[in-house]
Amino acid sequence: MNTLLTFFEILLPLLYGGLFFYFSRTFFHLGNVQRRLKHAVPAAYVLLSVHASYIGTYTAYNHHDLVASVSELSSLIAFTLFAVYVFAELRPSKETSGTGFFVTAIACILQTVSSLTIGSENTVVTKAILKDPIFNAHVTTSVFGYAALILAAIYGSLYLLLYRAIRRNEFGAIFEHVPSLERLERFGLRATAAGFVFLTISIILGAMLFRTFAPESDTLHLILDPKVLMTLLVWLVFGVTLLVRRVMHIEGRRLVLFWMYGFALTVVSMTIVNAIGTQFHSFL
Amino acid sequence: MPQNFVSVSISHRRAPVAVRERLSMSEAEMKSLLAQIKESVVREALLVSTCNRTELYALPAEGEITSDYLIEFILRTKKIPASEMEEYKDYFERQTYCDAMSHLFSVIAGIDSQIVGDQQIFAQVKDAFRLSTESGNNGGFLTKLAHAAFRVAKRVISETTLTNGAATISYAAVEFARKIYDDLKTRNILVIGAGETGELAAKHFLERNAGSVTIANRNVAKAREMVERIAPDASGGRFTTISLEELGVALAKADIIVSATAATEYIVTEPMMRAALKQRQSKNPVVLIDIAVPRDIDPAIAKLSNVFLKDIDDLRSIVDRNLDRRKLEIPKAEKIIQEELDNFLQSLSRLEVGPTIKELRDRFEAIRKEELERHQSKLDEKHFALMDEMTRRMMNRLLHSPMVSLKEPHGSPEDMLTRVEIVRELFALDNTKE
Repeated sequence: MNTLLTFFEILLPLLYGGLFFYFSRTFFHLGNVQRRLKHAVPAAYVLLSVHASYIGTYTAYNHHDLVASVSELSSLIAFTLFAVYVFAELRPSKETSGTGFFVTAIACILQTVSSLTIGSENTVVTKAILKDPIFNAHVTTSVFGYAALILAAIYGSLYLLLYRAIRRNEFGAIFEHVPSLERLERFGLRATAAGFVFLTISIILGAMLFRTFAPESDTLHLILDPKVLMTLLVWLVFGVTLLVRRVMHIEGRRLVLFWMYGFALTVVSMTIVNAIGTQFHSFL
Repeated sequence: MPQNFVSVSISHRRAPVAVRERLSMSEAEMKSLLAQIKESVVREALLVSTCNRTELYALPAEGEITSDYLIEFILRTKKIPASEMEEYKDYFERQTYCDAMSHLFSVIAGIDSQIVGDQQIFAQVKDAFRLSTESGNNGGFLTKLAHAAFRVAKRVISETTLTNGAATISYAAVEFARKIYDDLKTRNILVIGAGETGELAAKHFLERNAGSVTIANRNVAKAREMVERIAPDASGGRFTTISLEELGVALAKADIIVSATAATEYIVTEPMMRAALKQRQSKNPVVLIDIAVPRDIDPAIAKLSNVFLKDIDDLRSIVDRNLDRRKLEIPKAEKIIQEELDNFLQSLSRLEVGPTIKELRDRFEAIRKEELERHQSKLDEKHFALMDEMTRRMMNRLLHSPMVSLKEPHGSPEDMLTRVEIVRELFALDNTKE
């Protein structure tokens, strides 16, 4: 079983890297996108199947889901991010694979980090909590939330890149293969909304877990936990983004910049929090 | 025989626009020429006539017809005076057999077009085949050729990027707008100017399912005429025509503005646009595309927020880039043309071999019977049966080698057809048929 896991851990970064290379050829060589898409969809399904098999094997071998360490979460986020992209855009898309270039790049980095570090760190969550279904739902919704937010950030980055290309009359690969500004904004907003919903559920489930697994701690302890604090901040930023659009009718580049600042805040906060503590939450 | 297939063509390659214009034919003229040619020595004929080319492809009923015969046919139909005929003849390209077929494939694939990869020509050649069928000029050969030609065009579209990207300024304008708004159904489009460029842009917007298009022109009647031309059916309901005096209101409503007038001063000034943006209810960006020379839209507008302004030079760079990329795809398209030409010739030779073998055998059998009958009275029944058997065996042995040679698929498809042709000529099979 251990050999099989090692095999998956070597294979997955290679597969993500291969698909990234495939998308980059389309992106830069300006070839026949439609023909390439024909092969891209089956290749993406194969990759998702391999990754799902890895998750299944890992769970069976370690008796817990891929939620107990940063390495495990990286792999799960890579899988979720790629799956969301495949089913939300690649499969129904008939025009472009421009986003795939960026999604596979990020998924490849996440999976490579996971494959290189997995097993070298201790799982920091107690066995009892790992078996709790609410805990698993809490972590899964968090993963989905963050994956959706990464996707929103990719759409936001593409929006800004295309916007700049149009302004500067740079009619190259970005102009050619990235979807229209209107579509990028729409997809990005959907991803933000989905991320906001998942994070909301995750926060509620987290609060329920707090009462079960840390009954002696007070609510202030919960709110002052760095991860909870950062998650609340990120949740607030994305909530405000959606609100700003609805109430103040801010659209286009200004809205995209708003959610991109939110994403930057997420990255910075998560980096700081992970650097400070190795535990998931201070009260566990 | 397809070896006698001949084509004459006048196109942008050799002829100036004045000559092409003079020889361009309306559908009625095309029908008339096809009806006349049917009465002549031509068995099958195809006539392609667009603003850039007039081409006549013909398969003679018997023997050969010269390309000059076909050229004179075209010139007479277009009533070119005899004194000018020689001058006109020099502009024509003449091709026969494989070169003529290959030329047709190049035309339908768009690699022979003035704008490489032009897709309009596919529909125009399709129409030409339809006219040929309607006029009774389309026999078995042209039907097969049409299928091969359509296959070439479809393969070039799906297997190469020869037709990708905008190749004209008006189309580039629409494609640029779609980089900002991909769904034009919900957008308000304003086209300023009802000239040729404005009309083309409006047409492209219509093809891209634009929801609402306003045409602004100094002369509103001319704008209405334009709408009737490009949308004579129900899609005309999507159009509104206004005069330039009403431009202020239309600017405030429009998401995409394309200007293509012949005005010498700015039609859309910076204060006008600033006022329009203030009145505008939508927060979506405004796309302004100026395809007029001299420019219609004040370049200072580009500095206003939430506005994208592009002029003809910006669009030209998109078009040039696309055309350069299309040219790189020509070798791929030529490879497809060669493959399909080989396949076509192979299928033709297969079709020719069967009937040729049968005709050859029938001819030999007829001679054998004729000779036997001539001597029947001199032979008794036993000897006659012996002679019958002996001559049949002789005939089979004599025919064995040429038949095997005809059936064997060695050499190129062109060689196979040539072998069939030689056999038919040697044994005068075509004469026998008549």
